[in-house]
Amino acid sequence: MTPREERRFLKRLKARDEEAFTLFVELHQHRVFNLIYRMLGSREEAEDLSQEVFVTVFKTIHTFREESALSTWLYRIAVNHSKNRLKYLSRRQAGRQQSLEDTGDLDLIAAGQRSMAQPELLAAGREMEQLVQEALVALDEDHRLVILLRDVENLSYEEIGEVTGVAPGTVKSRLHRARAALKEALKKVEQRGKKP
Amino acid sequence: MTANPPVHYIDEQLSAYLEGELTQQEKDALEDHLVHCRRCREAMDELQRTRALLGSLPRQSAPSFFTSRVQGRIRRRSRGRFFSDSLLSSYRIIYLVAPIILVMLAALYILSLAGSDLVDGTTGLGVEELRQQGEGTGDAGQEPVQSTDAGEWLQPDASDGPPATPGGPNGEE
Repeated sequence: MTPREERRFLKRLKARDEEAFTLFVELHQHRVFNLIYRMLGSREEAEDLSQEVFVTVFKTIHTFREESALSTWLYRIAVNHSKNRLKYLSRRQAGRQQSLEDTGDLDLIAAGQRSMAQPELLAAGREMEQLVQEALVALDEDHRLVILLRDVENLSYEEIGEVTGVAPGTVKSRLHRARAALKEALKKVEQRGKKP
Repeated sequence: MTANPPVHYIDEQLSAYLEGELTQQEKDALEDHLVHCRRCREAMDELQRTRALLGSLPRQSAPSFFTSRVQGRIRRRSRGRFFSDSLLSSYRIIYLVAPIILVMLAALYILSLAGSDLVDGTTGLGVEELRQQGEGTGDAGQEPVQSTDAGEWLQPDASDGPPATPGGPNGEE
């Protein structure tokens, strides 16, 4: 889409043009869904939340000030929704999680996290994807997000900064720490997977 | 990062190398170090593998009917103001009405052909002409086709406020 076409398209979106909005959803649905799925590790949650993201876009498109790309703004909404949902889910699981932490059994905690991702990933031939997803879910939320935006969605540091609201320099250092953490998390889940 | 190479590089530095963020001097030092240090080489391999695994993660697609589900949520929350499910406000009506109109036109055409073939042997007049003579009307058997109605149905509902364009290809819920 040329900048002129994009401006015209945006104008239609802001006028709540249903046809334009439908096209917008069809263009971006998979990207939004994939990001949220990787953040939450659950297809069911991702489906529900992705729909909410587009409802929010429709409701609030008039507030988009065009200081960033529309796709960046969409990512920001998806990220905010994901963070809120993660908070909600962690609160919901807090009781159970706390009791596991009290026992000091990290394997059990990881097993609890794994259960989020399991139903969709246990299909044959997808073991590695499952391991990576497990390792991702085990990461700190900000680390997971920066890795997904950079290494899966291929956003630039500047774009990630706009999405997450942190300076590009911070994004950079956070990314390096996140990769190191993911490497270790992956090692752990692989070792656990090798145990009989 | 200092100019003097560390005893061992940490993952953050190796990641910065993979991103091409090191100065030429730092890059050279790291590459020299990797030649001699097995531990850092393995760390680098693991980091590269991790990144490759992330890159190869299959992209998960949104489920079928995603768009129509979003439209449904908006419709419910806007209490039908947007994405109204009414057939009349959707392009889908074309697909429903067009075949009916075509069938009606075809039927009329066939009837008119059949009618012109039926000629009265005694008078030499066709059935239509006989009927016209008998009844004195000129439009017997010619029911008007309500084709303009479909055009009206496709007009957006003015009460919707913003332009109520059709719901799009995924109209099904």
